[in-house]
Amino acid sequence: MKAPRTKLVRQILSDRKLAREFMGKVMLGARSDESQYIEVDGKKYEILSLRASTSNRKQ
Amino acid sequence: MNIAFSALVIFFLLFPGIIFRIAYLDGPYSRRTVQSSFVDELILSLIPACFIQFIGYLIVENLGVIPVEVDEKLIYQLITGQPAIDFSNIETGLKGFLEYHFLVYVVAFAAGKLIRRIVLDRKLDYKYHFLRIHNEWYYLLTGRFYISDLMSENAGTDVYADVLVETNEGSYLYSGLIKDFFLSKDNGLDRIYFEEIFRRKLEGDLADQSDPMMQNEKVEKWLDSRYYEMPGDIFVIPYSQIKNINVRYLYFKAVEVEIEAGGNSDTDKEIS
Repeated sequence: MKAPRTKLVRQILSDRKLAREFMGKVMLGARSDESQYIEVDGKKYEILSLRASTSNRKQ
Repeated sequence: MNIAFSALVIFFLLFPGIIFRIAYLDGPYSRRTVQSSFVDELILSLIPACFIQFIGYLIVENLGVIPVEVDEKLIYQLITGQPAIDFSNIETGLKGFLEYHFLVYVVAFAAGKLIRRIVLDRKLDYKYHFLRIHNEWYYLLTGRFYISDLMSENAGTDVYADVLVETNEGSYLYSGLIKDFFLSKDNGLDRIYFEEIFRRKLEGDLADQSDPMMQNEKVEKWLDSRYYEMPGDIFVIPYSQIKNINVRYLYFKAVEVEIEAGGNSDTDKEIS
């Protein structure tokens, strides 16, 4: 089953440099309360998230 | 009366519920597990079966769709396995009984498919657990169940995950965007495909989030130096190697940047 992918992220991933910056900011955002932003084609977007977690039930 | 005959009658009465359930849940990534036993299916089909049979009973009794009269006493005797049954009643009512059940089975199948379509179209399975059609991995890894009102439905979401994997060389944390996932035969998770994945040793955890190392690195190149970018397009992690998963559903809000006259600082304003 394919996971959802937004047009914006598809656009970001097509640019290596932007993709690295995006992933870096997403990982950083996961570990700090600071808001993260990314600029794509001159437009600025705030990266937001809703968290959930699960554990391997085999353990 | 043979107890097996009573069981057969009960099965006939519950079968519309099973058909309804199969029609409702049938499809890829279904909640219905391959391992569920026949008894499990019977129990789970009980409510829809009772409902469908009740509606069918009312229609037959009041609308006369099928020229048959329901003999409640006979049904009770058949279910409870009472020995004193007049088999001539069964013989005369058999045709109507079979016609009724054929019709009810068709209606149960159509109702299952119709309700499935309505639930999927109106996304009711996101809101109500008991209406869930797909299994839990589907909702977790697509983010469909966790989509909040804050997220724009049109803009969608991307699923990012931190996965802890244990190897002989120690524990590694893999972070990336989930691209695809596959289920095993028993409807558990089999493997996850990632793209843009980064790896680091778990021992590299920072005790303090405001560690200067982390702060400096993020300013310079936006990438925490503890992470190693995995080369390649798709990275596959088998579920058997995963200790735990931390999932984040990403979404975006466009912000308008206003440049203040005579100043270098920008003011961000959310676009509603």
